[in-house]
Amino acid sequence: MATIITAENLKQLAREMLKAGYRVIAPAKQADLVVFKAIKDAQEMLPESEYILPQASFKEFVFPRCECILRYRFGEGGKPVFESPNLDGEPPQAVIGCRPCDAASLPILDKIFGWDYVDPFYFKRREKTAVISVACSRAGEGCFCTSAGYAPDSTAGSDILLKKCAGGKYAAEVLSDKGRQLAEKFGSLFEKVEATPPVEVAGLNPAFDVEKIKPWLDKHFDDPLWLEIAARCMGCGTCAYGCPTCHCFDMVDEGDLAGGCRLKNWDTCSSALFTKHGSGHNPRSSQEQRYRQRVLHKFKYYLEKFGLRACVGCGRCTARCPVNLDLRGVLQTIAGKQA
Amino acid sequence: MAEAVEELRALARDLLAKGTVQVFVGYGKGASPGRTAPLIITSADRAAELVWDKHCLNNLAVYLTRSEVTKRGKVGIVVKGCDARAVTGLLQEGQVARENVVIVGMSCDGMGEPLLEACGRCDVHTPAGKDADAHHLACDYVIGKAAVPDAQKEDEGAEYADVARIEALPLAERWAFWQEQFGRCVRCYACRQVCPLCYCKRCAVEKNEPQWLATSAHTAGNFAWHVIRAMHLAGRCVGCGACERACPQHIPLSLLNKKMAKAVLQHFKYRAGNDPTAAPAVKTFELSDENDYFR
Amino acid sequence: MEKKAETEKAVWQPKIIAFVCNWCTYAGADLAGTSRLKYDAHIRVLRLPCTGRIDPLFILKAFERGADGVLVSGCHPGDCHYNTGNYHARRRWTLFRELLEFVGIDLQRLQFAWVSAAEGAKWAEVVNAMVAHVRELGPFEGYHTMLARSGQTLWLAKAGANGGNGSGHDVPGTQPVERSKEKQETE
Repeated sequence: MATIITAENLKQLAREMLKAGYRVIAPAKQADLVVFKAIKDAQEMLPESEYILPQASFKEFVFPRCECILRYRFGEGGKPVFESPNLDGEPPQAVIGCRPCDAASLPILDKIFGWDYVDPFYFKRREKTAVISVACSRAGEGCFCTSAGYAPDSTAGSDILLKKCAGGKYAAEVLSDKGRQLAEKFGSLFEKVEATPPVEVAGLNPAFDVEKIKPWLDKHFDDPLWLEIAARCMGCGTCAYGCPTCHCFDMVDEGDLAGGCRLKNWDTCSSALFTKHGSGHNPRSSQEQRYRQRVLHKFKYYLEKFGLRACVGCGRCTARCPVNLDLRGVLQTIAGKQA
Repeated sequence: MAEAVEELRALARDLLAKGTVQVFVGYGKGASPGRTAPLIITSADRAAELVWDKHCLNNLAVYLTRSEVTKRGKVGIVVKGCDARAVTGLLQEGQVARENVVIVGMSCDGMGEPLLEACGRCDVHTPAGKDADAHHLACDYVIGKAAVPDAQKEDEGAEYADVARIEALPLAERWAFWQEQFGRCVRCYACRQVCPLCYCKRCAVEKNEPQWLATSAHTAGNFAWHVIRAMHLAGRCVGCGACERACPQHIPLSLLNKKMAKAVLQHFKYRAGNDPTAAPAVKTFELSDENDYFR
Repeated sequence: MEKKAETEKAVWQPKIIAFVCNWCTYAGADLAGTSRLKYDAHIRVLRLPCTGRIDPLFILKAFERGADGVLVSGCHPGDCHYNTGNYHARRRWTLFRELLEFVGIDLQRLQFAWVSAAEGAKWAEVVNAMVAHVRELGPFEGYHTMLARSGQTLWLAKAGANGGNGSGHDVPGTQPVERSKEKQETE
């Protein structure tokens, strides 16, 4: 027994979810880009064939780029009145049409946001988020999910995984309780068939052996390779802000005569300011030191701490980078150096 | 282009091998289709990695103020005519010592496939070589035909057509347009980082006593950031387009800088990046500067 | 409490910030005062040593903090106490006002003047004209809406007036403050 949903019904699902009060997040057009948008109309949802990967990840819907975590207003006698944002008031949300790599970022983000402090700003949104991914029927030029330990049809992080099959339909694999509940609630849109039809899933040969990366990183902190690779890095945040697994943030207080708030803003380790101390000293004063940190964090420290690498191989960092810094290429080089 | 790249590689090899420069900045193979990437090499044997084709878009002049590059010693740098303007700007502002740079100008027929719109209007296809006069940047080498730059453009119509389109909108529509654009900014600062003229060690947005410019990526903060950046580049931006190309949100940033360039040209008869001996427009003044809008 | 309620219903008054130079315009404004010249009081004067000190950022900051209009005034060209400060400033503002207009700001909200230390009467005239213009234009709603959607507390409270995006839209966790709640706390 297998479950099928037609492309038309997938749109209808979006329509019905919108009507049921969900925030529906789907790849949609914005000027000449495809981005994840909270759509107002199912018509905005792009069919799977019109994109491989939206321009940025959907992390802003569980980890907003600028978020108030605490507010205060001046009340009677000028006394500050503190308020926490009402996270419970957030609507349920569903990401429809993301790729398995993007979905896989959620278990990775879960680790850091649930580590020494369970971050309610992340988890309250995460708990309300259902993920319906679509497996890739073709790989992008920059993709390297299979090198990072994933695949065009990975299940990690998805509640329902759709795979393209003949006749404009998708085979639907329900992967979690959340997925099961969704499939039941909107059951009329899914049909049951006897056997799983043949599905179209891209093949992607790994570009490098990821197991070789950490052993090299362990021993080559001071390798001249870092300067060679990263001399051209501009130190902007384009990679970090598009990356599905980057999660660093800066706390900023903004206030005026009536009150203010404490904001949690995206931050990037590529920036020189990231580690600048109040004294003026900067332990990562040079760009190659910052780039090294980025790679070490994703492929060594995160792995050591949480058992997962902070990279899903989506390739966005390279595509978005103004100087086309090639993470996949860097990792290939490193793996090549590790006997 | 094919001969040019061989000549370039030979030159770079020579410059590095002889120690004339300690680091050479050019273009190398990109990772993504249809792209090249800046290539920064310190040994002659890597000169073979240099490329020169229709995808050499980046403005490499930005590396002339990056210590990761300049700390190596003398810098050899590949520039197109448009990029050379940024080098001129840096010289005008005392950010680069002329004797520390070996400038390799490349004769360029235009970049991009299809051809970039700005390239279609270019008047510096071949950067000036050693025969240039004191009021033009003289490249140490020119690969391709060496010639004096074309005369200044008279017709701003074509050059600033996109600016004029915004200017023609009613005020409220203009505001709505820019609100939408600034609302999408994520404050990655790619625009600032790739700009050769944004070389401040401490950017205005990094001043936090007090925090003049909000660092948060909300519309009000983004508005202030882009307006102030455009102001700080007024009369200095050379219109290379690197900022707009770098923006991951595809915000039409060049409109702001071009608007400023248009205003600088109209009011002060000055174009950035042409004359290394000229004082930048906002550094100087005329007694006869426009006064009409003062009560 | 009744007084508060009354002022709630009172007519909106424009907020104008004036950035002026110490040697000319500030002295001129002082002269207007000592001459007992009457002029519209809806202006706050900020004194700087020279118009050359006025950063475009100050002007933006004034709008960010709720100014409906900004007036900039200094020594006449040729009379600058520091010789050339106002010449440099003039070039900057020629560009800045074009930039602000380009992004959709009505330049009647940003005015410039040369007022000397002897021109007390002119100062009064300039202020009256400015305030009248801005009163006609009304509050700077566009900017205030932008501030409200950016979660700036002062403006969220007034978001009701603007509708649309006055919802702390850009910053999750900032919802507009209900007017009734706010009144309760300040009473």
